[in-house]
Amino acid sequence: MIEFESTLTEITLSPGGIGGVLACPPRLQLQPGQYLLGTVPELAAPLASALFPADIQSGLLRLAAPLPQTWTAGMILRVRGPLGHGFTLPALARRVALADPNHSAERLAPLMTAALAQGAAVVLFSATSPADLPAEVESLPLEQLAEAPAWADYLALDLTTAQAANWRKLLAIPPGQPCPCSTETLIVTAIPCGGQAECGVCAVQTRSGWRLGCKDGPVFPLTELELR
Amino acid sequence: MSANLPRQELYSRSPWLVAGLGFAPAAALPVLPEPPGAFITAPISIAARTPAESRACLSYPGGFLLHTGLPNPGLRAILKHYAARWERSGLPIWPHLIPATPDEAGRMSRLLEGRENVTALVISPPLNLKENEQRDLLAAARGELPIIVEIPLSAISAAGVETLAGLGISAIIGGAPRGCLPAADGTLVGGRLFGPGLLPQTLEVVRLVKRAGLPIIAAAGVFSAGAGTAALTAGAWAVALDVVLWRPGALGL
Repeated sequence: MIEFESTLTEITLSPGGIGGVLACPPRLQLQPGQYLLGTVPELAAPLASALFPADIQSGLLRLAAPLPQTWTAGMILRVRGPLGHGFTLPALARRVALADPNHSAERLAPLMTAALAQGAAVVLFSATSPADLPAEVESLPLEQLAEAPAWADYLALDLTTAQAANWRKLLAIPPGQPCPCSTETLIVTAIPCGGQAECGVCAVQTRSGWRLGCKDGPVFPLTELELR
Repeated sequence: MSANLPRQELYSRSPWLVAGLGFAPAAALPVLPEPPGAFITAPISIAARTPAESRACLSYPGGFLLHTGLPNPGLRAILKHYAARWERSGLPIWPHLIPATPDEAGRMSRLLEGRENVTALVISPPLNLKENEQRDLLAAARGELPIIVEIPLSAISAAGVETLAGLGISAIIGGAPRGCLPAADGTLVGGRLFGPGLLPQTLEVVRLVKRAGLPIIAAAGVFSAGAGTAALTAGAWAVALDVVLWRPGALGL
């Protein structure tokens, strides 16, 4: 984990709100699904924001929406990370499905890049199609998400806790039947402390007890979750 | 019980205290105006507590509301996991206890007495206790270690401070007040309030408690080195930095 200062060089607009581009120190190694905690010192906001990468290229880190609406291009951010536990893409996965029922799957984009790099076929199910989707990726409507578990050998989701609690309905898997493919989900929750405090506001109930989204997550194996 | 017990002296090599960073100090602590004097743990109950059903972190202008249910694995589990780290820590440890009854307060206090590097106890009495119940709880906790009582800013009164002074309490922490905010679905969520917007209340409490002759530790509302210095200048015995330390760069030093 490192802490650094960097300038927000660009603000971008996406269906999920505003995103941004940050100069990225070369020593920052982010796994897909891991996050950073960032704050603009000049704004003196009481809380830092969880920042998820949408892409890292040529020393620039594209941040997924939504960022705080008070952030503008040129502001200097204080950033800590990488934090948390990200996605574990199986090295042998050859059919990878990604799904974001809420936005355009920006937080899943680094995983898409990793899957393509290992020669996997990638299908994306999302509420809105991202503008810069690689040509190799097949984009399908969310209504077809139920087909993903039978086709994919790895499925990655970006869900709210309420959606994760209803994953069987989302994937059309009857009660009692296991999910046929390895499935992980990023859980959208407040992460104010970045794993420093064990305050529990991001706690997620799993088969093995309560886990912290900030430290043990925000990515969890879907079938481990016991959400209500 | 005597009405005027002698106060046990509290010692800290620095007026800057670290809080809000879990149950044991990490290898690297945030940069403060000077090296910290003690580490105050996250709240600990006698038995394990699970997270609240309606957990929330809601921002508002000037601060944020945090509702967690104060989850923790319970004092015995904490000791099992962290006692060795407490002993190795270069910082004195002040466990923050949330007993529900005098019996719990006494048992927790006895479990912590004699522990290497534990030099004081911070106790948050339940908010719904009557004055005599609060007195019994603090009396039960009293032992070899100095006792610091954490009280929400909004619950600190001149009369209450005088009562605490008579109980031999070593200091008071002006803790996070309670409040309510509507969640996304419109339901009201209650929780602890944090943020720089509380600083004026903190300074008022510093003035009030100092007048009563009790050491006061400023906590809620201190979100910058300048705010901490203002509290110390106003007469605070120390400043406990908590959720402000969650921010990268914390105090901007």
